[in-house]
Amino acid sequence: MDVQLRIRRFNPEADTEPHWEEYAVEAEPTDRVLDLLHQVKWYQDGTLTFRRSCAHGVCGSDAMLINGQNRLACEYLVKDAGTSITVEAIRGMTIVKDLLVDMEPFWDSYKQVMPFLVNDEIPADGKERRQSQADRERYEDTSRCILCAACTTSCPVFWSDQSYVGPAAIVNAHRFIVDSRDTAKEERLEIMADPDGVWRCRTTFNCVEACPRDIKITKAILEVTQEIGKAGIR
Amino acid sequence: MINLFGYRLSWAQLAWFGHRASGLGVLLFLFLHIVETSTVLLGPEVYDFTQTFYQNLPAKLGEVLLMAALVYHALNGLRVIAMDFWPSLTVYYRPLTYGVIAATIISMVPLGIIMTRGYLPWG
Repeated sequence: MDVQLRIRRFNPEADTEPHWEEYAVEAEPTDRVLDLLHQVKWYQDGTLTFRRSCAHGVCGSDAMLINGQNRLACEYLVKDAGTSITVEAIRGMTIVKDLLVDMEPFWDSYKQVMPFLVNDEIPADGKERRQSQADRERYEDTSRCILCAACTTSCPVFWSDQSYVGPAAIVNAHRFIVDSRDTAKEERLEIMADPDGVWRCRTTFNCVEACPRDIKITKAILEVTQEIGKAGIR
Repeated sequence: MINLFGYRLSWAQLAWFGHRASGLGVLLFLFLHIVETSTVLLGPEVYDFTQTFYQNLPAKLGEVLLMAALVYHALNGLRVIAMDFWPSLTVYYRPLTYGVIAATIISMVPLGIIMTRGYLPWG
């Protein structure tokens, strides 16, 4: 099938504003949008720039705004996207070139929530920190995040103000806040209670719809707000 | 597919946008209402005269719109509050959003008829 691919391109050395360019590509219905981008880059215009690594929905590096919604280019099939497809860089980030954005602010927010287990105590048996299946279940959903930034860059609050920590950072904070083995819960909740933290969520559910791992992001965000309330943090 | 700010508009996002728009609309009416009511300070004639502004069909339809904004804002507010108290409800955000929109439309049918009955053929 013939597909009309519109890509919003930007070359910082030549352009002042991003602009649309169109490419005609031949594709199978089971091809992914990433395959189309490869076709353009490998056979039509080698200057097209985008990020991708595993190309199988695991590394989360090819999140893009495809047909008006954030998705992973390596997961979205042509049969679902149709014969006229638009591809843009994710919103709210500085475009480095074409579909490639500067992810540093995203990583800064991520690092801010201390996304690692904090526990300096010696385990009871001296070997491992045990927890019940029920305790493990509490962070099962949020531990599946692949940090693709599809959620954060689909959020209208983040579009208007990038100082908002964003859904991805909150999801990763939640993963440790509800972990019974972690001892830095209070510290993380303090970070989340910041004016740029969890309270800025407006429950638009764009993040939930954009998440390629189907993480219940808004549920996690609201659970963090409840934990802040229970801890009496103001 | 409707896009808002270049991003696909979902019903949940529309619900949020509607919540803001209805809240601002009601606030705007509140200011108008304060101005209109305060004309009583200028005497009963002036006040009675300002009241005549509301005695026509376009103003009545505006009141129906105001009522719709109030009903929607209240119901959607309850949806948001319910999710705040019970985060598990967020899993059902789609049916809850559709429910609020449907309940607003259903409530507005009798309310609209009651409010505009003076202008209806049988009123």
